Amino acid sequence: MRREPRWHVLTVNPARDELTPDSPLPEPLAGLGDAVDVQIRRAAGDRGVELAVRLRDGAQSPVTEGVRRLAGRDPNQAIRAALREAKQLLETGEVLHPDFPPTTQTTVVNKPLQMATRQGRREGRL
Amino acid sequence: MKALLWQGVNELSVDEVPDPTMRNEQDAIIRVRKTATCGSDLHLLGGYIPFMERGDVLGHEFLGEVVEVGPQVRKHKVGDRVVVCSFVSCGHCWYCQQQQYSLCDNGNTNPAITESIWGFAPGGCYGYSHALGGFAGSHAEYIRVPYADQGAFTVPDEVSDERALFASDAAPTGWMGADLGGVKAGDVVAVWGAGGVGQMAARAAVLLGAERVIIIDRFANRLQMAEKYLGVESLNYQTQDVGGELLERSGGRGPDVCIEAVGMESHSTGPQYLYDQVKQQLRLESDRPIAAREAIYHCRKGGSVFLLGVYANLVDKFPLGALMNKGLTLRGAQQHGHRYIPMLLERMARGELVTEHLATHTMPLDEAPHGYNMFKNKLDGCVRAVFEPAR
Repeated sequence: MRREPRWHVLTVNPARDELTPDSPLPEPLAGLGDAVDVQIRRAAGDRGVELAVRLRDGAQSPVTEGVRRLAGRDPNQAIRAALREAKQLLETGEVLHPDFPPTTQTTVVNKPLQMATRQGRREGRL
Repeated sequence: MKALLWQGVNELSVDEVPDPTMRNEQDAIIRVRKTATCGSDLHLLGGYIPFMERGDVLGHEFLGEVVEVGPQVRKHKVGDRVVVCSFVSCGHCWYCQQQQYSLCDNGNTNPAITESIWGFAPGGCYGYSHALGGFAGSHAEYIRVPYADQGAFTVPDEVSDERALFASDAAPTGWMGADLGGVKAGDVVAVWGAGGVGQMAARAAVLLGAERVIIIDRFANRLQMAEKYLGVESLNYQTQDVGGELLERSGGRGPDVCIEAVGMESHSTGPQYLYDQVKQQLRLESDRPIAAREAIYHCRKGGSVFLLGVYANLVDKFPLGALMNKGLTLRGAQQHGHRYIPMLLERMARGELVTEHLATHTMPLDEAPHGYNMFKNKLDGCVRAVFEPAR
């Protein structure tokens, strides 16, 4: 069964008037170009602005999506990362980076966790 | 630099690791002067939170001196003596603006893990696994502090390092339990756990006007310490009938507010301890919620229960019937320390809040594995081991 792309939505708490429905797309969402539909709308209860993004076309089978996801080539992963980073830029002015250089060592046991954290902003429920 | 590293379940070492570097313009680098063990570290050490990697630096309760600041840091300069909140919070998202700092939307660089497990991701925490951002911990000579203007607080001159250290985590966590648990003048408050956080919750309840505060534990030295330094009553669950005593001391009503400061590795004397141990070791439940069950059971009708102890995921035999039919309010949170730390430092300066007694064992960082062994096994009356990397 093919699955229609869903909206990925998060709420941003920008400085007043910094982001309105008529605003140009914030970075890095702007970089997704024509591949996505975007909605910018006021959030209920004066909670800020809702940013909603979905793939413009290309309904996918769950199998195809799963394979792409594992390979890190699912466009939904890029949407999640772009949304999270746009929110951080609008709210704090920069994207928070993990510590570097790492203090950890790669072992057989922690390889799956390292793979998961490499996708830390590209996965999740968003 | 030297740091205390998690090498595997119940395995620690002090080794050389790369110095931290500035990664964001709002970062600061802190030279750590004092860094404390915390009961919640034991869940990481024992493998109950399976998101650690070999080489992760432990520690989230610390105080130090600013040695480098990013160009966007406004409040701090090199040389400032600061205590740092254990949670990484941006200060600008909706949650931070509601003063729910540990729920920060932007403080965790790995939100996918906790979103998948818990539905949504809280903020990050130093030295608290890759589920909470993978930030290196404070049991090291230096540490990177993101959003330094938000999370680092200048320590007043009149407050010693020894006292201010616990403004990083134990004191604000305890204060939050009493505050958000709704403690008010005249209340009877029961606190499960007389470790650092439980003691601070009990003291907060006193300062918020509670008429009777009763702290519950099994270690006589901790209970004596609470009586001596906090001005509270105590109950030893190994030698006293907790339920009977709480009824007697609250006029048969039960405590108005019950604060649980124990977490996922609770102990008890009854058969439920064996039951939970077996289920936890077989991974049929991740957490042993014995103290939480007791808090719910003993709380008065219409009362409030606050969970300060850390829980990771799933528990068994949770008393929803008591919770619902007694009309209880149940809350929990990781600490919203940014909300309380300035006020706590003022109280420390005035002498209303003393914490030095918690640091029962102070030692160089090189001895940290020994310190954790003492702390974990409660050897020599250890309540908190504190490490001094420069010693």
